Amino acid sequence: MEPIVAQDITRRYPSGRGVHDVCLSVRSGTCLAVLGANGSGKTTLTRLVAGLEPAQRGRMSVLGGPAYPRPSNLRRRCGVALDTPAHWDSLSGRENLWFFARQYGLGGSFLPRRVEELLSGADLKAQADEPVADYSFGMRRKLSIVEAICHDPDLLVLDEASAGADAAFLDQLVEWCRRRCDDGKTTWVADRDAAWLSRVGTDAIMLCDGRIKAAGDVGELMASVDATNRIEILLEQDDFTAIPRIPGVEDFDCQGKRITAQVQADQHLPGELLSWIAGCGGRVRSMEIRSATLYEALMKQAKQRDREAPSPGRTHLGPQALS
Amino acid sequence: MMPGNVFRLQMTEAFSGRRRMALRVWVSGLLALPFILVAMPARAQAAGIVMVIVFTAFFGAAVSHARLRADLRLSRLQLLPTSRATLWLDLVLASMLARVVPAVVVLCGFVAVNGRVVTAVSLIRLAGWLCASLLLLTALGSVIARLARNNAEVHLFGALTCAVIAFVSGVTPLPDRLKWLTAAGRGNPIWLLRSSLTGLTTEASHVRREELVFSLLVIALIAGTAVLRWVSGGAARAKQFDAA
Repeated sequence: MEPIVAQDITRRYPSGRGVHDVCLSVRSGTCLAVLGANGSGKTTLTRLVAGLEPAQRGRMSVLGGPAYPRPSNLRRRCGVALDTPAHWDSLSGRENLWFFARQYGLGGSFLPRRVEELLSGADLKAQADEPVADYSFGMRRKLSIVEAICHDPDLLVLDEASAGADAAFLDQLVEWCRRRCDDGKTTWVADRDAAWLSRVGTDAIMLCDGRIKAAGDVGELMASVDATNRIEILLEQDDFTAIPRIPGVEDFDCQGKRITAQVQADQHLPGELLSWIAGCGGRVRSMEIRSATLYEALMKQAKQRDREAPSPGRTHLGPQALS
Repeated sequence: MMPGNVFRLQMTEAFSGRRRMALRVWVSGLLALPFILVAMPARAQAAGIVMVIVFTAFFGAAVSHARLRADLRLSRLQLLPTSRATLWLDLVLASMLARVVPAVVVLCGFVAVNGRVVTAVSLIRLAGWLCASLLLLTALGSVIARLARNNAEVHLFGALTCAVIAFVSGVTPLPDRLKWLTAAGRGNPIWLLRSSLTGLTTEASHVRREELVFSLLVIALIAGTAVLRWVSGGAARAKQFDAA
């Protein structure tokens, strides 16, 4: 049984944003990274998976039951950390975490042990007895994430998990998510940080204008751009229109003063590109070279898909999809 | 004191800040002061005190519920495996009890200064109708906050609702052609709270047996439910997740 199955899901807001005709199935043991620009539909889709809103059209099942309204026994098997941390501010972090742990059925001697373990994992032990009102945004984020995972749910839904959280906690979260995958549990992580998503996710989808534009196994996606660098060049003028014919330079895009290009990981290519720009009359102010991320990998796949078949159909994601 | 259910969580939050509690009592007390100290007809005094209770309890419940929704705490509560009925019971009961303290301070002041026929029976009746009124006002406040889209709408709908409550509870005199409104609302807890307050100051207080029994039942039901919910949110139950 697949923990998340969506068939032609549509949820549209008056602004026109939302998700449209999304088909998706996520297998157990998957950590699905959901990537997309602001307003691409990440949070809408995440809220549908979390059971906060009903879809206007289509069918969605979560853990074998209806996604909305979700019965109590299914809500117990889910953990959700929304993009905005919400706490009872005059209570301490420990009291907030204790409340959620109790609500999810933890008890006995395991409860205080689990609370301490999670507070340590989130590096909040020193501030555990301070009111949440005194916490920074990052500390609140970390607290809401540990509240969601306190009962080790079968489905964990995280929205913008990396926002505000420190690097050490993000490493810890990667470890927790990997352990969950090993245990056959499913994790849904919607975020804007492609570099972190490529570490935490086993599979990824990219949303664009409320639709899934690309999807696949993170390892395979990253391998597809492993030999690629991304170059960003800032020009002094904004009338540069030439297009290079340099072997190894892919996806050259010039908009105003800004040039972005995907180039093969050849140490001579950036220099060649600079010389060519100078030869065409371009005056370069700055240049940045970095390795391609999951975002570029998904973008590459999206363009390939557009060329081959405009509609991707239902997206199957998970360990069994690899075999 | 670790909160183990929504009722205990909300109660702990409501009584955690001394400043917030003191402000609630002070605001209610200041609003009620003219009706306690200034000489005026008993009916007007009782109407004024009732309006202070309606205003503070209804708006307090509505605004705190709207805030609970706006800062997404309500969404988080709705994702918990708690049933909707239990969730709403806990929210309304905790909100009501948080508003008992200022209302009791106001009523104590009123009875101490203006009370003429103060007997145990009349006080029980007053306490019963106060509990019933606060429960009704808190529930109404939560429903209005649920229907409104934002805090501004809560205040708009709240003002209208308070006006309707005042009309149907006989707090505000109405012209003859609208008297049916008071007749229709006759017997609602706020109407009965007002009449029991008037009775305390006019030496014409006669408590009917049914009223006394109903008051005792209301107090017992609310107190019993509150104690049960408080206790069930206390010590952690038998471990269910030790295998985890």
